[in-house]
Amino acid sequence: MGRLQISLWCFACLLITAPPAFTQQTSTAGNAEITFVVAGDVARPHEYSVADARFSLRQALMHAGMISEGVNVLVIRNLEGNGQWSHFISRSGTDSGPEIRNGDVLVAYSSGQVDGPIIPNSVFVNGQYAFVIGLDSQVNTGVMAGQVLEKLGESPAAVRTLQIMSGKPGRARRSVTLNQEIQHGDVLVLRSDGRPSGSPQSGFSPQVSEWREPEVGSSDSSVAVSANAGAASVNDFAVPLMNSGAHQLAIPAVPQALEGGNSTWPSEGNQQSASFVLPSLSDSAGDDRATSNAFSEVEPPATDVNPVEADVLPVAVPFSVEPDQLRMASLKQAPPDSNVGSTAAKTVSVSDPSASALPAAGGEHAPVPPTELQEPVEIAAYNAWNTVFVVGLMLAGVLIVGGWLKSEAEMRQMQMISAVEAIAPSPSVAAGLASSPLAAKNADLSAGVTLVNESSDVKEATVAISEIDSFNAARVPGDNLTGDNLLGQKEQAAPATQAGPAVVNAVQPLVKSTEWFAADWIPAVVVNSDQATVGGGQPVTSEAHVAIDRWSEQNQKASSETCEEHLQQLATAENQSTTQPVVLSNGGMESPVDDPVAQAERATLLSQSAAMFSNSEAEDVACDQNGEVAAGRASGFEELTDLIENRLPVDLCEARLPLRISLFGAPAGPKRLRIDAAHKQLAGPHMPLTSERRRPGSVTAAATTVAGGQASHVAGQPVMAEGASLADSKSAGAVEVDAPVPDRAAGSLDRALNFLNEQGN
Amino acid sequence: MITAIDFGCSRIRSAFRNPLDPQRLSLYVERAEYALIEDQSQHRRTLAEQQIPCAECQDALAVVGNRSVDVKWMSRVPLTPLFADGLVPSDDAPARQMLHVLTAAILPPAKDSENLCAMVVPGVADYSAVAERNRDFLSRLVRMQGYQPYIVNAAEAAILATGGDANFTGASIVLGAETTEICIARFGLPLASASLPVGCNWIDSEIARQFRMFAWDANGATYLDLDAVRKWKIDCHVDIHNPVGERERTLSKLFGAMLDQISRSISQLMTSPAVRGALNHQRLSIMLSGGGVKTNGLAALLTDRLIEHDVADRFVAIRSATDPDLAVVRGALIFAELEARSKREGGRVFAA
Repeated sequence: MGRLQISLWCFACLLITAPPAFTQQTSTAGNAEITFVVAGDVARPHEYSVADARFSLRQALMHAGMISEGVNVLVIRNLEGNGQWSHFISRSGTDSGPEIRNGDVLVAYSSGQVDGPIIPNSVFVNGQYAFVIGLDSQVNTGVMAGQVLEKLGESPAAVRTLQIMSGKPGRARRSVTLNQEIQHGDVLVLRSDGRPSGSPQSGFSPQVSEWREPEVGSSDSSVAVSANAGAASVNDFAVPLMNSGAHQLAIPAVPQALEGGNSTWPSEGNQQSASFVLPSLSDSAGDDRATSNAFSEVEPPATDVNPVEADVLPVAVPFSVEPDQLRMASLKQAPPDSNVGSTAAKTVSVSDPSASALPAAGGEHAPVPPTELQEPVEIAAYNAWNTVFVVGLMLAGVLIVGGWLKSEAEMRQMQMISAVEAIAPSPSVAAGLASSPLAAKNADLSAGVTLVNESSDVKEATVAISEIDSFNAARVPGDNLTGDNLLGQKEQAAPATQAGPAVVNAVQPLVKSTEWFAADWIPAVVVNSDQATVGGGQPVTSEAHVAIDRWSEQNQKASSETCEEHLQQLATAENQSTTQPVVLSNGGMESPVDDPVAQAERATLLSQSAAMFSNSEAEDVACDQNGEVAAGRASGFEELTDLIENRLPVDLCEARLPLRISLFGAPAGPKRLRIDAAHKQLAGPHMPLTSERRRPGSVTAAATTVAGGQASHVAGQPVMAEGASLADSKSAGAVEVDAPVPDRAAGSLDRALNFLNEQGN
Repeated sequence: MITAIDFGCSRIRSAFRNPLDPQRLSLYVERAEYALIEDQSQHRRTLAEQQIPCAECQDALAVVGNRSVDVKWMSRVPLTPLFADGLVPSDDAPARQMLHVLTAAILPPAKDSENLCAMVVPGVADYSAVAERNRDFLSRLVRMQGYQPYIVNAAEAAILATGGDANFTGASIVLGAETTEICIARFGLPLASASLPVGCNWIDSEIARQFRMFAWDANGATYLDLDAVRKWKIDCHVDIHNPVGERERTLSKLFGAMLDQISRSISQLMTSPAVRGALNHQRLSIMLSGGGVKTNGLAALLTDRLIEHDVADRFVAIRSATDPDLAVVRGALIFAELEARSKREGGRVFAA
């Protein structure tokens, strides 16, 4: 009846959770497109839109182009700059990072050697949008925070909080003033302080619609873009920024770096390079600028420099993206106009095979990594396993609440108790055990902790069982277990045979051991040693980790828990004695059989295991005066604890080698340490001799013998005849290992002295 | 008998419990080198008078083990390592036979049925054919003494010896003479490990080469004088984190290069799926062991490198073993006893 109730309960849960699961799946598929901004040390800092709701951080960086082996990515989740963290992404690593969400701002900071050009940039983050700002490294004066705010039409920082965040070491988050210089990789955060970010004075309402207009990407009068595959060449053009046209962003002509032919930009096919600049401060004051001819609003320069270059602020810095990608990143205020739909259709989908190729110039596609960098990501769709998983979780939760799932240690102990109960019911079997020598041995192993069956004719039969089990069996149901009375009863039960009748809890188990899910998930206590047998002299697979785990668990338990907590844990094992018997076998567990011989064997087998566990568990509850469990002694590893904690005294012994032995072969000697062989010829005299005076063959050669022999050299008596070559010496038996030093009679000093001598002559 | 043997490139160590008093540990330490001296009658007489064990090879006499230092004055040739480049030499037959002699001398006789020996083999722990031959040869040596060999990774053994208070969870680094072993374990179970073919011998060789610390034999051949480098490091109490002088700065740079490689490996191991799955957001301890740990300032230098690789926040502390030389063999002995315990329990249950 109980199982029926639980089953009905689970079925009700399934019905309840099914509709939300379906709804969630549907909503995930519908909310596919995400937009994010990547800046910092990447090849293409920009805003990207992808039609994939499961886009990982690593994929985002690959889209933007990683220029170093590993980067620390500062992830800003909400545009207020509050939710942020760093994540390390390696180019060769397997960590894909978390999935990014719509509106994330990712700023990469390379942690190793950079293998590509760094485009200085920073990010401006408002409460409603994010914006990549290019920084011109060739201009001496930096970009002030106030300039950025003024160009973007934001209200001054007096009414808001202006901060700079950076993932660079030593540049933590801090408040800045308007004349604070922005550096590469900085994130300029303008917090709204509860106010809407769109300034009513300036009428600033960033949207993404206008830049998508055809005239922006086309080569009309206002936007003249010319590019070739080799060196990018960008003419003057400007991109209207907002619908109101109050401000505009001018993209100047070819930057100086490109004009000089030293372009460090990646020249990727049709991809064009452009300088993304902000107009000068004087140009940004008026809000009444006409939107029809935005580029005419850029005032001519006051100097004689390039008009466009003079007009722009020194914040201008090129970055290699397509001109139509140079848009304002309005992440949260994407207008619901018709262009958005077209944009969504043109955004790159990872699963799209055409995404492997670079988009054409003027296209709406974001930069796409090479095909090998793309990871196939399936679009979220309905998966029936999700529902099954949810239901399974709920079922497990119900079982946990009901107390049916137990820890591994509890299950082991439950196995012990159940196995002992399997051999206990039959008086004849128990009597046979008592009369057998194995039972006597088991009784010895139990260290005096025995349990007498309640049947009077088998009182002599003893079966090894743990002290805890005997206590549990002896206690009356309903007794409140406290530390005091528990210890008192243990003292009574410990010495010898327990006289009282064993009271067995009559609660019937919910799950029978014969049912298929009864014991499959219970870890087997016994490890088959035959599997670890060495075959053919090969080293065997280790089983020591099982013992390490047990030692660690028990040691940790002993050191951390108090005695009372431990006893309470023991008291909760009252159901363990009621579990149906199971039999440990080689492959796991079997249902009990009625063969008396087999039961006797199992009795021996399990009583030994029980004795082993009883020793450890009995010592587990031994408390010291401080109420703490004695560490180490609880698990039977006390002798190993001294070794682990390096408390054993060490006797350093001296090995006794045989006094004389004969070894076969010739020793190699320290060849690895030899860096130069013996010189067979000596250097000539260091005297200023002219070439005419230098006597040929005047070098004295050293006499050499076989290796290991004694070198004999008598000065002034060359052993080798004049003109004898090195080959002759080799043929004469001399061993040459390395090339000898060349006969250079004159070094630099000698040559200088010789030159002076000749000059003197 | 349960023993452990550590075939190190610098020393060969064995440890086991005293058969008469299990609460004492017996330890054998022998140098993994031999001295090569000329086969002369004077040398033979000297060795006989001083009762120095020696081996007669072809055209030479060899003294292996600790006594090789005593006869070094007879020959100007530096001591020859038994494990050249961390491997059992294939072109040095006497060295292979000396390994057998040493193994037989430092392992106790196997007497009962439970003869287990956990062994740590030198060299890079990969699955190459050379490493396989290495393991096979040394396993055979142990098996010839009547023991069942169990090959243990050095870092894994070290974490058993040093990580008891951390529940055997953390990162273990063994700075050996020829190799560096790294292991990240949880409850003694290795999650990820790496083996780097760089050790302290490389640093000593570079110091000797750059500062021309040479030794010449009687024939004039030049050798790197690694003993002089080691003596300098010990006598001068060199602190690699605060170097003084050109030589110490070079030593610090060399250690820094090695630790940089170690930190990079740790960073990669920490991002492996196994480690992230088991130890996610868990700060670990780094346990250092091996002969190179005795260098002053090593932990501080390693801390700097970990900071540079942005993995310092994953670790709580860097701890050096109290017995860095013996931690590996002690951990191997712990491993062997745990292994024996597991087999004993399994055998007891399945005896019936």
